[in-house]
Amino acid sequence: MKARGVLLLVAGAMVAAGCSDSADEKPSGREGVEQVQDEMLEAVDDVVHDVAAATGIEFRSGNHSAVICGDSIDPVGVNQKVSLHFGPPPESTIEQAVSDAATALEDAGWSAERPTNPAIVVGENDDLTLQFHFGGAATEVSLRSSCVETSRDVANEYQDKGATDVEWR
Amino acid sequence: MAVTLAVPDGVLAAAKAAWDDAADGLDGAWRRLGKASTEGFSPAVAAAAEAFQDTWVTELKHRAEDAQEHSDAFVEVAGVFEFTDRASAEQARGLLAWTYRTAAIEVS
Amino acid sequence: MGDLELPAPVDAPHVLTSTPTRAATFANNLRAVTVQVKDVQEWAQAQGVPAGWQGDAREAADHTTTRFARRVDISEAALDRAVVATDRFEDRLARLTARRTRLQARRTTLNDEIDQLRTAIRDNVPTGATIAAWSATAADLRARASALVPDITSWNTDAADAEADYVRALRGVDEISEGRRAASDPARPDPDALTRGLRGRLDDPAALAAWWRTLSRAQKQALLTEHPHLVGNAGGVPAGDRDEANRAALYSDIDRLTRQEADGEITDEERAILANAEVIRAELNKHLDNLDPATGEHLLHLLGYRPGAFAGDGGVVISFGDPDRAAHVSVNVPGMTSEISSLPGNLDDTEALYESALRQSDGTVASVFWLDYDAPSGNPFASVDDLLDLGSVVSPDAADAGGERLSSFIDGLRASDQGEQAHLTTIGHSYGSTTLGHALQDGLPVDDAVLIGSPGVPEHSAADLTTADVWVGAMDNDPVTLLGADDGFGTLGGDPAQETFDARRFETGDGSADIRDGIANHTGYFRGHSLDNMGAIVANKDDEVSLVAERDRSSGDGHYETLPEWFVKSAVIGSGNAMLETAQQAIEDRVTMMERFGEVLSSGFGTLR
Repeated sequence: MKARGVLLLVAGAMVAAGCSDSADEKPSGREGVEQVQDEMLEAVDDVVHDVAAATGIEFRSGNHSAVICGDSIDPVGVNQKVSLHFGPPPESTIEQAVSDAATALEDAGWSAERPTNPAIVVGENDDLTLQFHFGGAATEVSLRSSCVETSRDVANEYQDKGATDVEWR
Repeated sequence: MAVTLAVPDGVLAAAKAAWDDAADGLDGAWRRLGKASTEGFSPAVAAAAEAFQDTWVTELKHRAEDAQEHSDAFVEVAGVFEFTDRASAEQARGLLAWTYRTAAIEVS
Repeated sequence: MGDLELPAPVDAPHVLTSTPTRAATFANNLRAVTVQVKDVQEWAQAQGVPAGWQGDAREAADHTTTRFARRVDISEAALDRAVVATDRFEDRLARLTARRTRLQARRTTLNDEIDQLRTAIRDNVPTGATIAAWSATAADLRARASALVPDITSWNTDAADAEADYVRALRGVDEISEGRRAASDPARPDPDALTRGLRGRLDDPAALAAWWRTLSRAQKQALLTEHPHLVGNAGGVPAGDRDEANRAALYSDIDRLTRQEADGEITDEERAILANAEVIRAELNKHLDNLDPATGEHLLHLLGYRPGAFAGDGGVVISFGDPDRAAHVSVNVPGMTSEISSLPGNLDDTEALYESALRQSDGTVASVFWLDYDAPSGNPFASVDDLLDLGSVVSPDAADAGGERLSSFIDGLRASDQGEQAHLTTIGHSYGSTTLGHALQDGLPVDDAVLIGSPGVPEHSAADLTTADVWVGAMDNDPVTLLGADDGFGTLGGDPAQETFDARRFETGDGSADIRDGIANHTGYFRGHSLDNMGAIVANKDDEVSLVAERDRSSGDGHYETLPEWFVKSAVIGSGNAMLETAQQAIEDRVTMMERFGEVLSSGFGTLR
């Protein structure tokens, strides 16, 4: 129908000209926070396990936490972080561990960057950043998300939960 | 018969509160010492640490109880600190600062 | 054939069951216990027989308070010994961990090479040349194994000795009689003399650092459990010792105030202190297992703890990494509304910066979050008036006073720095940049200064402000940064992103132009390119920093809006976006209605065209 076609054209034009944010469809709200949390914990179960197997590092402990992004008086959303703590690579040099970790990241479909610091490898996948820092005494792993927009109340609610332990399956 | 100590106003109330604070302080101390974890130490180290904890938790607990008893020795009735007899007043006098060790005990 | 005998693969050193962090945690608990016992003992002793009493000893012994003080002193002496022994054990474990790392590196490399040579010999046909080469390699491997095996054996022995010594030390004070002997030991540290030494040097960090180095371990531990709040906040005292003192103060405060609260004996002021202490403890616990991978030591250091300062807002300073031993140190100064309750978000930013700098560094890094000044309260984003207040009504006095406190803190860091002087970067965000500006104006001894989201600094050129390298991060859609323009509203000083200021402006992106995203822009400097650039500055990789044009209304690249222009533009975009969302929904509703209408018509009247 001609009128319908015109309406659709106008709608399409306004969408194209307008709010670019809506085109990105980033997760938001409580649902968005839960979705990103699930993705992060899935990454722990998948790619982090792959790297641990490849380098021989032994899990010690880990936790997940959320903090507000924005100002504390006016939060705009939630950043999430998973912090994992492992032993040192038992049978390889740091350099070899970094190389093995990079390979495991790429095999799992993540990008792998080796920055200036030779003890670190950084993986990225969508909006998640995963960093391994190897050392002779320990290996520190951090997994970070970008800010998920939420209301002020939801942001404070997630921050107030504090840190919860991560299960290593 | 009323038995009182001849000390300036406020001294007995302050002593009661101070002994109560002391009891609280030592209470906090033995509890924290008791729950300090030895997990992650080798068995030999954990055993030595636990033996240390056992001795000093018991000691600090007893001292906390002493302090609480000392605080409870000061009984206020209608705004006045009174003692049951001369002996208990003498005991309470020993719980005050050194400067009051010769304060008079008044019986009326 | 030459000698192709290969050494056996070398076994690993024993595993260290007791770790430095376990010892540190136990020591922290012992110190908190000791602090509380010392408080009670000090009170009781002050009530008891005076020192040097020449009268009847029985009279003193009969005085209950005096007897109580002497009895509690026995526990205090035993605890002091246990604290010192645990502290020593922790240090030995840390050194053993570092040695083990080096031994492991030698061992894994050697074992790999043994394996490689074995494979080469097995898989290749020997010739005169290869045999000679293999022979030489085998000899080298045998020599290295001969050196490594006794080193590992020696390490195993030292690890066992460390444990045995600690066990012996604890067993030496696990009975009342042993505590009594410890209490009367003439070698026991004199707390009064130590306190005089400390108090006399509080205003001179360099002198304090030098004096502190002369103290024995027992003297240091005695002093920090006697006056934990004082030692923990004293510039010049090493970071590790400040951390120990502040944790002892923190845990003992929580124990005491929790008890008071349960008894209904807590004042409002104490309630605020307890709330602040609990926030700090929660953050320390969240990061309890964060270690420095190289040393195995706790990553977080509590360098400042003043939970009752600034009318209950509190002061706190926390570092990721040890600033005394790091090659690169950053100090973040936060802005308005910052108080201890905002610690989680602020620490997350600091940790993100730490990780970024670490990635880009070929040395060690420490990133400090410094909130030990009276930041003004208020929300600059609550309304247009509130934002303009930030520029006009909010006084620079707090920044000036804060700048002095920051200077004292930095002087303290410089005094306790070990080895080669650290490359030091200070980062001021929002009102924190104004505070940093005041400190720089007074000669703050740093290498780099970074001003992000700045409402203004108290000079109009970088050269007038400081001799340090000055960097600026300013999103053009961060309205706070538009306050300090020459034609702007602000009275906190000049916009350091202006071309005339002549600082180096690094890439941050401009943020979203929607007025509703003003806050997100202003608080978004610790992410993305902005974070990467700050990390590069902290790591002293100036060449890696991506620069953008400074602000200049007359230029193309550097052009930017005035604050009123920005408000108008962003408000239109903001309401436009809201209108678009409404219009889009209305159109979708209409289309749905039309489709339904079409279905109804076609079902009754044939296909709709």
